[in-house]
Amino acid sequence: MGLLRKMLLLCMFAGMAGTMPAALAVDVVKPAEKTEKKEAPRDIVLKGDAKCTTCHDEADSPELLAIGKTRHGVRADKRGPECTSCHGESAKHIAYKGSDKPPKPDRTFGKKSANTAEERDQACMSCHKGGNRMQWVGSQHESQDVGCTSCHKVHTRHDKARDRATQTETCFSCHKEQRTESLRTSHHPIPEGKISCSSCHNPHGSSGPKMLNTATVNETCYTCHAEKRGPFLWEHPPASDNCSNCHTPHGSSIASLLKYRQPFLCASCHIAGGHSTTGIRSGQDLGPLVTPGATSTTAASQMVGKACTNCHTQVHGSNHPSGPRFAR
Amino acid sequence: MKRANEKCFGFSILAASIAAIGFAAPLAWAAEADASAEEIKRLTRPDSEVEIGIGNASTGSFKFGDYGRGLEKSGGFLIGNIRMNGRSESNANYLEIVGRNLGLDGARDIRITGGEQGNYGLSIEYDELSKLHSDSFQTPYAGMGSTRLTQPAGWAGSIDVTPGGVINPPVAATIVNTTMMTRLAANMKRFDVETMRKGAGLSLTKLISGGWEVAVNFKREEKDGARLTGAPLQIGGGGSRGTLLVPEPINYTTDLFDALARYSGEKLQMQVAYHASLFSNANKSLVFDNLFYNAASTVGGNQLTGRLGQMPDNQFHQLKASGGYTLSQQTRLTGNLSFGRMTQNEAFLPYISTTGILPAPPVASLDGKINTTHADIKLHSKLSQTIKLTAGYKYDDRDNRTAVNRYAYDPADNTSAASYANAVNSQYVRKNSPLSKTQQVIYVDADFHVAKVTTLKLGFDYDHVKHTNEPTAGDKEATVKVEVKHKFSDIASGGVAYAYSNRNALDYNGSGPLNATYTAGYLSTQCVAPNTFLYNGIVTACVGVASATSKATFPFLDTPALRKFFLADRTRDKLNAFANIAPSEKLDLQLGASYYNEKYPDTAAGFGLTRATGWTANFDANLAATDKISGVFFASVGDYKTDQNGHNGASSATSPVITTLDRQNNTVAFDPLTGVTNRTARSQTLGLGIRVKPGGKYEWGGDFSHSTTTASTGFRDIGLRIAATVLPLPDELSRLSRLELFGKYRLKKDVALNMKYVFEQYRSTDWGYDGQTLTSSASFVGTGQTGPKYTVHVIGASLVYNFK
Repeated sequence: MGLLRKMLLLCMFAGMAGTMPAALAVDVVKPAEKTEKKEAPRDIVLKGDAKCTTCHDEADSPELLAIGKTRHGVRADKRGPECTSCHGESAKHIAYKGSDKPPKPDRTFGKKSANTAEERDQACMSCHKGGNRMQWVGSQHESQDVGCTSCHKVHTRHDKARDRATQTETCFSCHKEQRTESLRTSHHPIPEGKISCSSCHNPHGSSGPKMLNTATVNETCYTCHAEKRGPFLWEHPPASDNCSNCHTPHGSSIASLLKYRQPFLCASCHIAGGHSTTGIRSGQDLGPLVTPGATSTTAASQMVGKACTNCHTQVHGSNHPSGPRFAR
Repeated sequence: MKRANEKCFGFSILAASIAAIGFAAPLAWAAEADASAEEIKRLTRPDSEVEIGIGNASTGSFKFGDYGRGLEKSGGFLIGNIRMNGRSESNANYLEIVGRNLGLDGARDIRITGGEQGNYGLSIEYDELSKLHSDSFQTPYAGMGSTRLTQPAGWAGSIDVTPGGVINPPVAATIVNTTMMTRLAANMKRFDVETMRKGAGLSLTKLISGGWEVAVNFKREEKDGARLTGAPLQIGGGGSRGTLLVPEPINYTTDLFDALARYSGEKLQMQVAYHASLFSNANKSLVFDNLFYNAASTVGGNQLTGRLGQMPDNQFHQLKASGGYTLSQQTRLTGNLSFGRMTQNEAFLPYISTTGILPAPPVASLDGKINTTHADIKLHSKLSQTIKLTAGYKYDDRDNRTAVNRYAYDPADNTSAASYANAVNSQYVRKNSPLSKTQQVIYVDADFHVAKVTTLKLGFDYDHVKHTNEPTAGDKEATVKVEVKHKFSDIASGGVAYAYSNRNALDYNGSGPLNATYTAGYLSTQCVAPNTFLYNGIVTACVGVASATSKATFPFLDTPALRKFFLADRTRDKLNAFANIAPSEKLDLQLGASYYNEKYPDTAAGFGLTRATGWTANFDANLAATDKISGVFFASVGDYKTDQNGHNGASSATSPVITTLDRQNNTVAFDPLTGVTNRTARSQTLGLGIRVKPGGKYEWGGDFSHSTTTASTGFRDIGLRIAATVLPLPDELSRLSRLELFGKYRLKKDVALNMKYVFEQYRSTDWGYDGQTLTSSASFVGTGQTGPKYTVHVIGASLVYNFK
């Protein structure tokens, strides 16, 4: 019996002893009790974030902690930010002891932020002012109060604006015409997610037209369409001048992203150069299609198929000695 | 004993209970601690995801599968996506792998990025992109996909040129038309016209102390396949030709190389870079047999082949520098400078494939060279709390240094030299005219915060362009802009913007640059004696003989009153308006409209594009009904119109006679041959999307979009001489409807099932192909293509495994 009692007493001791680490463990996992124990709060993600995560913890604001999944959340990178790097020291916000809503942090980024776009951008530009963002100040977006966080999400691993497959969701929220055009039958592979707006444009500002990545329209186009760069022996003036003379880049109901349908596009500049009927097409040009029952071969080769380019194939320029008419 | 035993047992129960609590509490609290730590880890540590599944497309369609969707064929396909994020907890090392559409040809891409954040980074990527042009194209040629297209067996000699015969109408036997091709229909063969781009890239970045960073990028892209091109040939004397569309084999390689160094300091940021783009084409030409041959032809021959030059190898090298300096808290200066050179020196092909007819070109290759220069500077200053000013200057120069030579040529291959002699008065001798352009822009934009809720923007741009070898030496365009934005309340804001541009071309000489490419001897035949004209500053006599219709007093090759739209005088109005309303926390409404009107006043009195106008309107609604349900709706309508002045025919001997002089001076007498072509395009687009995340194991959503465009061609103010022949053209229509439904069910904490259904329907009509037969045109062999139409259902099911 004595042995049994001793064993049971040992069990009780062990049981009581067992509660000790549990009690200590409580201190680790229950931040609310941490302050009661007067221990320094611990950072969760960013350096010095304890002053924020004491309240904005996994229960209060789990979405904020996702910054740990981003590059901003890599503490080993000494350039990494603290919460206050972006939101300011926010002393009043932190010191507030009341039970109602505390004063807002010095800098917020939500829809109802009291900060100006410039103030919000300053949070990002303090680190990201080089490289492609060098021309941000005074750029089209900046001057329209479209700030960094109008497009970018910081507290999420997947920033839609930085993924070419999802970037248009961000851009099209303002650029509705381009959204419509991208749904037309002829378009760049934007809806398919193979290229994005930033493949051609620099939304952070550029010296090129329409915020293009390069100085001219043609230079941007040649990035992917280098075969059209030349120099050619026989240059086609509108093509050398500006690709957008004939093409509309965001989408068209006409093949090859053309602004106007051939032969009318060509007839904008060529009325009678060897084809005396190019300026005004007559219905006979489609042959039997518009003359039901007719069997004659009246369809003009300048109208059917690829129209003018059935023969004048080299409209971007020809390097063939016999190519001044762009048929070789 | 029993009591003692019971007492002992009771004590034992108590002791055991305490012991159990003692053991269980730390276990429970430890479990809670683990759970919390696990939760924090889940929230803060990057996770990874692998998706594997299968799908099925009900119908194959090139149009549906275009651009890398990889679904041009019906049947099953693999779904494969991967997103892996590896990041050390103890240091800044990372490894990310993102792969999409791995099971789909022409759609897949993968990118692997690794390094030490804040120190160096390395990235490797691979990408495929297919472009599916046509799966209904047909041609009689053999050898499709190669650089040599040959007549089908038995074609030679099969042309029926029997005058008055069943096939051949009573026409001159020397001109072959498509109805004489007795073996055409039997020899038409399908060929899928498509290209595939495959790109592989490598990037390296390295941070250097002192705010410097260097980066090197290399990308090689190979584009293979075929595109449609024209294959014209002479089938008679002079300008009579026949043509057909053929697949041109594509075998391009483009290497892109960039090396840069950038500095980022508190006030100064700058970057210097070198960029190279090297293009090479493995195919130098496309050779095709003459399908229009017949034994009785005076020109052409059985052995005649056409030879189309393909895009030549070329290179572009560029040095770039850019920088920005913050002069003060209110003022920043930025600028860019770049120098580039485009070169091309591919060996010339002979003038025509038939040897001995024309001499060799004057040089063996072009040695083409274009220097490009760009410079710009921008000053932005916050003059006060309410005024911001941005001013800048841009300079762009394209200096074409390519040598100018005269070239005798043949518009399309032939076996006859009769019409193409290298004579001084031949129209088939021309010199190249390298194009150069210099553009300078100055601009000023001012923002005024006239009130806390009201912003006024004023802007002015001045654009000055100079050209060489164009009808005008340049133009000047001034643009004024004004914009007002106002916040009406916490829930409503709006704005309106207007811009007016006026472009004035310097003296427009429509004949000059084109004439300059011909010989004086030829031009002198285009006007009638005793008139004279200036050629390279030399007074040259016209030698043409005046007739009832030929009376031009100076040479012109296209109508002198024609104005090219990108060079001509133009005024442009642009108006934009928007309103944003947020009636509640949950609902956002956006309304927008835009309008533009371009007029070409100088052209209106002549020929060419005289007006382009259009408007669009859109409405968007975003609804976050609850935390679990959100939706979006949008609708856009638009209308675009162009007017183009043109004419049909050059002169007419029928009384009252219309002469070349009437055309030259665009007199009232020329009106019976003129008219206006107006094109209209109307579009409607709407979309609807819903996302439901109830918070349990499943979530679902769907998107619907519909887009319709209808384009019409009309004619008005048609001259009396041509009114009877101008018939209306059918509309062109394209209509795309797409419904996509998807759902996600979480089978386990880290495993989810994705389901997807897509319905897509496309309808189009195109009068360039629809209704056309192989022989609808006498000189163009039909291709059998029609406007694409499809109805496709796609289903997919995949498992997603999520892990840390």
